[in-house]
Amino acid sequence: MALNLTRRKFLQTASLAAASVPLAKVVTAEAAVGKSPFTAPGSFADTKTKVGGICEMCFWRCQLVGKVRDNKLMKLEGNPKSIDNGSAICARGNAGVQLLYDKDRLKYPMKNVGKRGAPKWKKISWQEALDECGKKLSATVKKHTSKAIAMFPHGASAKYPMHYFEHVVGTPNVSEASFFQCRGVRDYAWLSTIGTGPGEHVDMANAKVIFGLGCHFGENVHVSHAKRYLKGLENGAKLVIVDPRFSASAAKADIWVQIKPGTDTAFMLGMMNYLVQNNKYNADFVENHGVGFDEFKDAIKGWSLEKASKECDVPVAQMKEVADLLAANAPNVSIHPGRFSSWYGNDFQRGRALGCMAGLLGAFGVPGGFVKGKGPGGFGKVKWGHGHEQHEALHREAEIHHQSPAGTPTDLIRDCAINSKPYPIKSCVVWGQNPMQTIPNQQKTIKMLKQMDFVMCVDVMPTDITMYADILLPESSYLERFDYIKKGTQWDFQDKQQQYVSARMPMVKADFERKDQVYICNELAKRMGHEEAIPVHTIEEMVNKQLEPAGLSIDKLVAEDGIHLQPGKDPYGVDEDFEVQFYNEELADDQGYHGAPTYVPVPQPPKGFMRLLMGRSPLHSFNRTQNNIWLHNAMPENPVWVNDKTAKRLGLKDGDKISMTNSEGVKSGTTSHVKVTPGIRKDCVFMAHGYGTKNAAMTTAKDAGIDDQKMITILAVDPETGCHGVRNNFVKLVKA
Amino acid sequence: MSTGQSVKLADIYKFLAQAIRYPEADWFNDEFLAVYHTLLEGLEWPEGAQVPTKVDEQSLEDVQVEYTRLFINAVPHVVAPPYGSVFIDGSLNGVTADQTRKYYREHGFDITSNEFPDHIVTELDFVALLEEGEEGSSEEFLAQLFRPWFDQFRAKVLEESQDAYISTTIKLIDFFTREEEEGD
Repeated sequence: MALNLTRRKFLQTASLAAASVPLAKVVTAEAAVGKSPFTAPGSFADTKTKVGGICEMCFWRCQLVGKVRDNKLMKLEGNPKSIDNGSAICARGNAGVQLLYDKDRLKYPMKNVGKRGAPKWKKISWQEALDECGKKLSATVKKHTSKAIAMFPHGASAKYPMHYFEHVVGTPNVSEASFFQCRGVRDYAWLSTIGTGPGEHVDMANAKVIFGLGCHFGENVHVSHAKRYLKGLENGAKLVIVDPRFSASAAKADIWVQIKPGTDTAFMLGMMNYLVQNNKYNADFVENHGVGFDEFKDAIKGWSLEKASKECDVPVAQMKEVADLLAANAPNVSIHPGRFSSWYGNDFQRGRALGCMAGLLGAFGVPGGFVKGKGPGGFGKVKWGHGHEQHEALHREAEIHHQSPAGTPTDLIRDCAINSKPYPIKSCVVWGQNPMQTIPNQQKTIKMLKQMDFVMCVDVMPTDITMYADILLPESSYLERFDYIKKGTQWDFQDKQQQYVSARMPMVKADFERKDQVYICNELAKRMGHEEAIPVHTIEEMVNKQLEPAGLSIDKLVAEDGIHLQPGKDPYGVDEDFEVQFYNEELADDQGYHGAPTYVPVPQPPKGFMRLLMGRSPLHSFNRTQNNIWLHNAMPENPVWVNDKTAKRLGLKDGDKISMTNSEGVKSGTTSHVKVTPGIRKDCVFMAHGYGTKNAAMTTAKDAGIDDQKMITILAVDPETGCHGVRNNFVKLVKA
Repeated sequence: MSTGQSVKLADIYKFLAQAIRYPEADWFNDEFLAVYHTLLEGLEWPEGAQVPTKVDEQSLEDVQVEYTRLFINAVPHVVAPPYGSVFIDGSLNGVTADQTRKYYREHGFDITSNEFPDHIVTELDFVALLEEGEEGSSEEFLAQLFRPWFDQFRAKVLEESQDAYISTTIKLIDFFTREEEEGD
C-alpha cells in the first residue's frame, strides 16, 4: 500500500479519476436501500398483533398471536381467544422468536461440493438446486424404479411432499420418526385393542385417579394437556406414577412406583390378574364391550402379584395398593396411554396392556376416563393423485411387522439400502427430520447415506443430517408460512361444549431465499414429470381448499381473530358397538403374535453398566430446539441422573463432569455433568434426549451435552410394529 | 474527469457494495476484475498481484465456495455472517438492525431488498446514497453503526479467508470506511 495514502488523498489523485466511469459501469445490482418518505421512529404504538400463529416448537401446536413491528416479530403469546392453550404458551413457544432469527439458520439453497459428512457448501440458485434434485431423483427412478428412493419426513411441512413421494413417485420407503421412534407403537397397540388410536385422550381434568406409566408430565409440556393434568390434581385426583426415576410427575404423585426398567407389562399383568381374580373389575362393562375376555383371563392367570413383584422389583403391597385404588375409583380413572413409547422393543404388548386395563375398569366415555373430544368436521383434503408406479412395502413383502404404522419400518429401509437386498435404495430425501438423532445406530445411518447416489435435505437449521446432503434447501419456518389446520374442542370437557378451527398463518414474511413446502415440492414434481398431478399451486390455496367445505377460509379466520368457534357436542358416552379386544384373534391367529397382552423380558445390563434411559426436557423438543439461544441458556447441558449410592461407589460427586462409554465400546465424545440423586434406581441412568449436536454450523448446540442417540447402538425392534426400542443400551460413566 | 477531485466516494461505495455481493457469473467477470485492478493500482496496493484478472467456471466456483464458507454456511462453522447484529447482539435482526433501519428512515431512506438492514451490502449501499445526497456525509453512520461491528468482522475474515479477492475487498472496504484523523 502506498505509504501515507489516505482516503481523502486518494480521492483527490488525478491518477484514478479516470476510474470513476468504469467503477459505476460494473455496478449492476440494484441498491439494497432506496429513498423513502420519512417515518417516525418505531414505538410500541406501531406494534401490530398478528393472528393465526400455530406453534411448532413442539408438535402439540398451540395457537399464537405475534407482536410484529416493521415486519419483525418481537414477541409470541398464546391467542387469548384459544379454548385450547388459551393465552398460555410454554418456554419453547416463547423462544420461537429466537428460531426465527437464529443466525445459523439456513438462508439459501446450497450445493455440497465437498464430501458427504465433510461438506463444502456453495450457495446456488433455486433453479439450479431444483434442477439438480429433479435430475438426480429421476435418474434413480429410471435406473432402479421408484422404490429406490427413501424418504425421512417430520413435521407439518413434510406432509405434502411425503404424500407426493408415496403416491405419485410411488415409493413405500418412507419412515417418520414420530411413528417409528416415538408413538407409532402406542397408536397401533391401542388400535388393535379399542379400534382407534389413543392420542392422549384422557379426561384427566375430571379424573379421580390419574395413572401414568413412564409419563413425565411437567418434563413433557404440552400446554392444554398439562392444563388437564393440573386441573385434575387441583380437583383432588390421586396420582400414580410408575417410573424408575423420581420425575417431575413422580414428585407430585400419591404413589410412586419405582419399577425396574423394562418390566412394565409384567406390572400391568400382575395388577390386571389381581383385579380379575378378586372380581374387582367392571364386570358390566366387560360383559357389554369386552371381546375375548375368557382367553385374556386364562392368558394372564399365572401373573400373581408375587410373581409380578419379583419381576418388577416392586413390593406386593404397593402393587395391591395401586390396583385397589384404581378399582375403588373406577370408572373415573385416566389410564394414560403415554406418548413417546418406543422403549424396549416389547412396547406393543405394554400398549395393549394399558388399553386392557382401561377396559377392565370400564374407563371409557366417562368423566375422567378415555374420552375423545368431538371436534369439528367437514374439512376438505388436498390429495396428490396416485401415480402408475406403486410397490409393496418391505414388511408387507416379508410378511412381518403386521401392525406397522404407515410407511415402512426404519431398519428395513436402512438394511435394504446398505445391503442392496432385496433391492437397491439409491436416493434419499430428508424433509424436516434429523435421522442422525432420531434413528438408533448412527454408524449404520451414515453407511446408508454414503452408499446413496443422491441425498437432499430440506430444513430450517443445519442439523447433523444436513452434513450428509448433496443439496440443502432452506425452508420457511412455522412462523413464516401458512399450512397446518389445528382443530379440536375446549380442553376441559366439563366446560361449555365448543369446537375450534384455526389455520397456521405467517407472523412475518420469509427472509432470505427460504421457501415453503408447496413451492419446493411442486417444483420437484415438475422436474420429475408429474406436473399434471400437482393438486394446488400455492400454500394458501392448499389451506383454503381444506377450509372451504367447512364454510371457512383464511380471510374468515383472520376476521375472527385467527380462531373460529362454534357450538360443540357432549363427548361422553360410548357407542353400543364399542369393543375392547382383551384377546385379539387377528393378532393371534392371522399374524402369529400373542392374542392377549404378554410380557417379554428385555436384556439386562452387563456387570458394571447401567441402562440408559432418555426422555424429554421441558425446555427442548428433542434436537430441534438445541441451537435456540434462549433455551440453550436455560438448560445448556443434559445432566445425567445417577443414583447416589452408585455415584459414591464410582467416586462421583454432584456436578462432576463425565463422558460415557456403552457396552459395545462406543464413546460419547462429548461430556455432561452428573446429577447425583436417590431419585433413580441403581441399575439405570437418565438424561434428556437431543443434546450433543455434532454439526459445528449449529454454533450454540455444537458439543453441548451428550448425544444419547450416539450411545444407542444395540438395536431393539418391536416385532408387531417394527418400531425401535431405544432403552436397551447400557453405559458406564467416565469422570472427565 | 480530468481533475484530481472527481472520483466520487459514492461510486466507490456502490462499487464495494457490488464487490462484496455473492459472486455470480453475470457480474463477476473479466470486465469487473479489470476495474477492480484499476482501483488497486490507483491505491498502489501490492495485493493486486494476488487477485486474479480473469475468471473461468472453476475460479468462479472457488470464490463462491469460499464466499459461502465465510459468510453463509460452512463446516465446521460459518466464519463471519456479514450482519451487524450477529457481532453486536449475537443474533440476526437484533437491536442493531432496528437501530440501523431507524437511521435509514430518519434520513429519508428505507430497505428495498429482502436483506436485513445491517447486512454489509445494505449498509454500503446506504452510505453511497448518503454521499450522493446534499448533506454528503456518511461519517456519522460509519462511526456509530458500521465500524463497531465491521472491525470485528474484518478481523475474522482476514484471519480465515483463503481467497485473495475476498480479503482484498474487505481491506478496500476497511480503507474507504475508516475514520480519518485530522491531519491524516
